[in-house]
Amino acid sequence: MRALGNWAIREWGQLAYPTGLFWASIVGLLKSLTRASLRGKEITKQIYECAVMSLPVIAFSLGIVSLMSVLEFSWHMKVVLKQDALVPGFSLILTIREVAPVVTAMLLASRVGASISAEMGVMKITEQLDQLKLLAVSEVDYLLIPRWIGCIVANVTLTLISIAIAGIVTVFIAARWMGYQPAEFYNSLLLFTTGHDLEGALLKALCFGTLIPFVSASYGLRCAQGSQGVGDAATQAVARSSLLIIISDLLINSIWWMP
Amino acid sequence: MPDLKELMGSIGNWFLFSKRVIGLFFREGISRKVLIQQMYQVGVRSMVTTCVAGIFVGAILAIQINLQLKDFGAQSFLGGLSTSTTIRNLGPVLIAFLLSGRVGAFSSAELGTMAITDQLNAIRCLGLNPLAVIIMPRLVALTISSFLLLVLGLGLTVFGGIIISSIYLNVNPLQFVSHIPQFVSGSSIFIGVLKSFLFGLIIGTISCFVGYKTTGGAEEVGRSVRRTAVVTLVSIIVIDFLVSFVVESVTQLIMS
Amino acid sequence: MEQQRKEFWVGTLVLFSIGLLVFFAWLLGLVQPLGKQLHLSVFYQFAGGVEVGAPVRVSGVKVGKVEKIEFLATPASDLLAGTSVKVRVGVDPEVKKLVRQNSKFYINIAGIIGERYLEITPGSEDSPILEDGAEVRGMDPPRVDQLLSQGYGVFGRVQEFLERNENTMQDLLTSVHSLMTDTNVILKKLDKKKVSQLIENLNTVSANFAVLSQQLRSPKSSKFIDQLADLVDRAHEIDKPALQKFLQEEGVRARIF
Repeated sequence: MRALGNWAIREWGQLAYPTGLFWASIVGLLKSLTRASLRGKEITKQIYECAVMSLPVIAFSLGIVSLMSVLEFSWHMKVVLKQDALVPGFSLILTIREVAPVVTAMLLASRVGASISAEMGVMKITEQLDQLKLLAVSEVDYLLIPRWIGCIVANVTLTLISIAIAGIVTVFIAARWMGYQPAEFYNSLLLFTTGHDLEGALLKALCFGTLIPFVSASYGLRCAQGSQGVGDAATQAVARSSLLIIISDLLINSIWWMP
Repeated sequence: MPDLKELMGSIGNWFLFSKRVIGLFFREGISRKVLIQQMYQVGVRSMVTTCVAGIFVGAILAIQINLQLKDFGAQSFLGGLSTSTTIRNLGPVLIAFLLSGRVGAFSSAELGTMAITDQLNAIRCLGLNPLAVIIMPRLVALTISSFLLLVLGLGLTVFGGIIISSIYLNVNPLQFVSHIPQFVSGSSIFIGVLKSFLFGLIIGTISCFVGYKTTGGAEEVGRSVRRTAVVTLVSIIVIDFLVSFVVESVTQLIMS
Repeated sequence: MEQQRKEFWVGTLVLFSIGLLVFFAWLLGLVQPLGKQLHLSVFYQFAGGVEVGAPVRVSGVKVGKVEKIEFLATPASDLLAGTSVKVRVGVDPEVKKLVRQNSKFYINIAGIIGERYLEITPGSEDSPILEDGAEVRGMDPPRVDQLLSQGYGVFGRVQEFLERNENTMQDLLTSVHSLMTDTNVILKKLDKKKVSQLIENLNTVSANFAVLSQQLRSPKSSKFIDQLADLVDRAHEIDKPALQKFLQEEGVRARIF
């Protein structure tokens, strides 16, 4: 019991630092907006790093995941419910609401999160962060805000693209294999999906896109010395952001789609 | 296509590496003490993560499936359908995602640090094979403990579903449980366990391979972690699809 | 050069995503950028569970959706008196020619999950085409709930009656039952032979009757009947004093009656 309490306190403490960074970033962002001093080039670079470079991996993964989703749902419907008219709708809606945002965010967490924390960790151990401090440049403004914007843009755009890919894959490949008509997908999609679901997916993307850079940066900025420190920071960044993605996903699910 | 060539090269390398290490395991075996020590290091420390992941994944999928069933007024099927979906398909994938970040990236970072600080070379200088002394116990421990953790997490998804549906979705636990046997057959559980084992193997081999091949400085360790996480996730998805596909084909063969 | 390449790709990605978002919104029917829709207001007294976003069909083909549902404080006009709900629908322009003054607007239930939709029947050629924003009276769907509640009332009364007269009903039933059993016993006890004899006798009797009635119709018997009637007529006058007088005249002292 005591160990559990200690663990809870420690975990809570882990969250405090990224939250602090988050508020600092919001303040920094507002300041930069008023002063119009956002660094466009850096932000473009970050979006490119986060979004464009992750596109092939995410497209590939999402294609396969949505295929699998159709396969599994058709199994369930045929074997268990003896009725497979609604398979297309069921699998697509699950992809839109749940699988596309979460899988995209997980892949981004491991790709972008690890590289953010490793990069910042290396800057820390090579004392570049101290130099920034000497130059009176805030690390939040200089490093974090471009990455934050990059991550959010990446998450939102990639989630949309994943949904599109899932739709294309299910409609064209699964329809050919399993004998569903593309129109069936469209009809059952309309039957189940509303704008609310699409907005929910975008909300998830926004939320995860904010989670990843702050959690990762918090580990990167507190990186311990040596290559072991960098490795630890990267590991923690990936593990923690994945876990927080799952937890916040449950929260969003239960609030957004209130029964 | 230099990228594709590189990719194929890495896959081939990974395969040879895994073959060699697993061959070593079968030839030389492993002392129980080392295995337990390693399993403690990677397994027990990730237990809390896995439990949280299992419960949350079960809860998330229960909410989502409930949303779909609500339109039919078929909420009584919630327990069966969400448990079945979780065990066969999405549960292992999502929990393995978390484990790959936690266990895989951790081992990869540790091995990468060893590699770039010449600790592996030092072992070589002592006339020992680092593959046998360092890598093999780790890989075996990683595989076994990932597998065990995944099965634990899968078991906990059911509790996650029960908790969320009783406190939030107004489906009482007995109702939830009563439909599980109707939907979840032995074959579903077998598929879940098979997937867990394959994911464990993937996490173990890839993290060891990437960690072992790390060269350069501290930056490279970070890059190794990233590579491990991404490659593991993609491989998990591919393996998951292959298993589902094969099972579906076999089911259709049997049924027709 | 490198920077420009990156900027190009980022721009492409962002634009592509915005395009996708608009496409999804169009697919889900959140926006209708193409074509001017025909908007109609259909008035109902009871809207039968139709919701915003429910499909509108003409001849069973989906052509639009319900856009808005409002409650009316006062009836819009005399024609629409008694209505309380205004359902605003948007219909694709291609079916404009089918929706006419004498089209009927039903609310139906279809599909596996009991989805509600608004069905418009095509109007006939001679009635005018409805303009945009026209107001029409819809056909109220059958109030299944009211039917049910009336049914419940009837059943309730029947049940109440049965409960109140439980003992009487039971007695009635038992006596009916014993009656049936007794009849059964009697029928069984009856000798079949005797019954058949009885029936035979009845047969002969009725045959004789037939002969008799035949004879009655003959001229001879009609004469006889006439005479009999005459006799009876005369006998009519014979009452008590007449009889006494007759007997006194005859010198008979009799104590009569």
